[in-house]
Amino acid sequence: MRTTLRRVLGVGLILGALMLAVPSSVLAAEGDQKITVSLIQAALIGFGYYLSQGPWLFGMGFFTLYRPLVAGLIVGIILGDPGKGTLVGAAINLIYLGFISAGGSIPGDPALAGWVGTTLALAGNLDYGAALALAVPIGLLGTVIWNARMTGDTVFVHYADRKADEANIGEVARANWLYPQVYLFLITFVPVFLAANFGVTFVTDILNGLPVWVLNGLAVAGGVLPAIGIAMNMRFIFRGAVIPYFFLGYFLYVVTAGSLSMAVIAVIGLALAALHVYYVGDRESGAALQAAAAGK
Amino acid sequence: MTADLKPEKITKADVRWSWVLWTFFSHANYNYERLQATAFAHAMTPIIRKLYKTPEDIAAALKRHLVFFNTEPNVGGVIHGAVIAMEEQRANGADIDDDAINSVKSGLMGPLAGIGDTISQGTITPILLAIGIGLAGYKTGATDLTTLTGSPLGALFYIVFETVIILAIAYFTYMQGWIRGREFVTDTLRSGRLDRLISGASVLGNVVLGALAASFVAVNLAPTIGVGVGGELSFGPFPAEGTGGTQLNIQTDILDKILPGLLPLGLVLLTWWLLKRGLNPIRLLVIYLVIALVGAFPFFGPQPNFVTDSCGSAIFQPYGKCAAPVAPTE
Repeated sequence: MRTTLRRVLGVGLILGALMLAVPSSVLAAEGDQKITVSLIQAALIGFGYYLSQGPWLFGMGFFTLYRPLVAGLIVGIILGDPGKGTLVGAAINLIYLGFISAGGSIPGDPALAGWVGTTLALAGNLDYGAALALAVPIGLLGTVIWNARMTGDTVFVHYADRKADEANIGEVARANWLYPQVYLFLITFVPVFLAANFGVTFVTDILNGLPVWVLNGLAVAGGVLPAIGIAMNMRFIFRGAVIPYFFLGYFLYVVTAGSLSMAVIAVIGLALAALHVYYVGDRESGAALQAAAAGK
Repeated sequence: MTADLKPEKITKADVRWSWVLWTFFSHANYNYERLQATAFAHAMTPIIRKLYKTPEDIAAALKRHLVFFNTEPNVGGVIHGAVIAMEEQRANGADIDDDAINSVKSGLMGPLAGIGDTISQGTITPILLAIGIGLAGYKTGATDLTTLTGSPLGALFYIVFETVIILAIAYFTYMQGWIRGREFVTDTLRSGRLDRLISGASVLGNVVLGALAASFVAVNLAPTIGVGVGGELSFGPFPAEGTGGTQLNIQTDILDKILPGLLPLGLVLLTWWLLKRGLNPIRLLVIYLVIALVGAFPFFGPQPNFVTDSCGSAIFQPYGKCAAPVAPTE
């Protein structure tokens, strides 16, 4: 099991390295001519976008391929003009310089903007302004893929729950690293492959024809589903004498409108923990206190 | 037989393999319900294999780590190291229960996510990107890219430095978390202060989990109550225009005025209560998904446009403030 996984990881790394090493000379540059995107090139670009979200590059996909600067380089290599590709990627990346994905949500998808934006810019010979104008809504479109991923992946968590009951370690592991990848590949590779293949008009058609309420529904689900996860943790620690501290943490965050960082909240939590231990003591005395209070 | 059931010793190689699994697959099954839960359990599999030998113990250990977990994957590795140390002691008979391990995880994941995101995504990445964008040949304020010559060097510089720095941080924190965590747990066990420590950890865990609930769970209710100039009442699914008088949003203008964040808190407590009553989480998941989708359907007006307007006229809105995303310039 361990060796198989090692082998798969190795293959993943090599594939990733190949992506970087596809020599630009093989895919001939055509100078200022309009670049046409072949099926293979479109597939490579789609695969690159998948890798930017997939786990195969030592988890570094998010820190490298996900950034338009890097996406630009690789799209450039695939389409035969690494220099121009990097330049377009750099320009797109500038909008996403302050990009931070925190708490499972993204404000936009720099990777989709980078991979598709650079492709359209190179293939359509778009100038900087036009490429950028397209990259922004494409980045927004990426949040759709993100929401689909974050919602769909919950299936595998419940599968892992079932397998954990059966003490099946291998299946729990595969529910994390293997099965979700099939799904992720579908929702990342296919749209980018199509976009690279059919070009600007296809992308604008998609942007205009989306069933927006479904997307909004997924985004709403993104706010509601964490309640299940949080509630599951609460079953472990939301009990006894420490229940009030949960509400304290909650309202500390709400009334400061999230302006207190989690580190500050943790420092306050630590101070409260010290006080609690000093005055209430350990678990047993806490439970005794609770029992006494309930008895009265 | 009994000899086979004894936990094996955790070696550095086990922890290193756990780190590899975590670094690769921390976001492999990222999801809204429990974020990195399966990834955490996955990273613990080498440890669980060594420490627990009966199906009951293995199932319990897997389920213990299949709970809501979210942190920054690189700096947050310190949690895994510490949890491995706790699991080691637990398997060898120390009185560390599920609550204790969960308290430590809950208490640390929030702050380390904040610190980690600031370091990796907020500091290292933008600095290296800015240098890379410069090296790529991009000039600030340039509007016509055809006058510039690009260089792949910018992207290559970024890839190399970003990867090396981030991975170095990740490996260091993971291993240090284990080494220091083990010393700390052993010391605490020896001095007999473990129970007080766990008690304190559950306080911290609750504070952080409460704050996490506030930051993760979001409900945005659109319906409003309108009070006309003549005192007549009107109800609308979304702010009606030109009616005069006052429009009050049920959530932001009424419920939040009573108690800020009342609706998400109510949702969390309701979910907790339902799960405690034994409701199947999968059923709950489906119910919540259906409610979200139906609530986002524009029953009362036109279909919202994706690029120019994210609001529309549904009961639930996806974003807190109904701000339209940036429109493309033609």
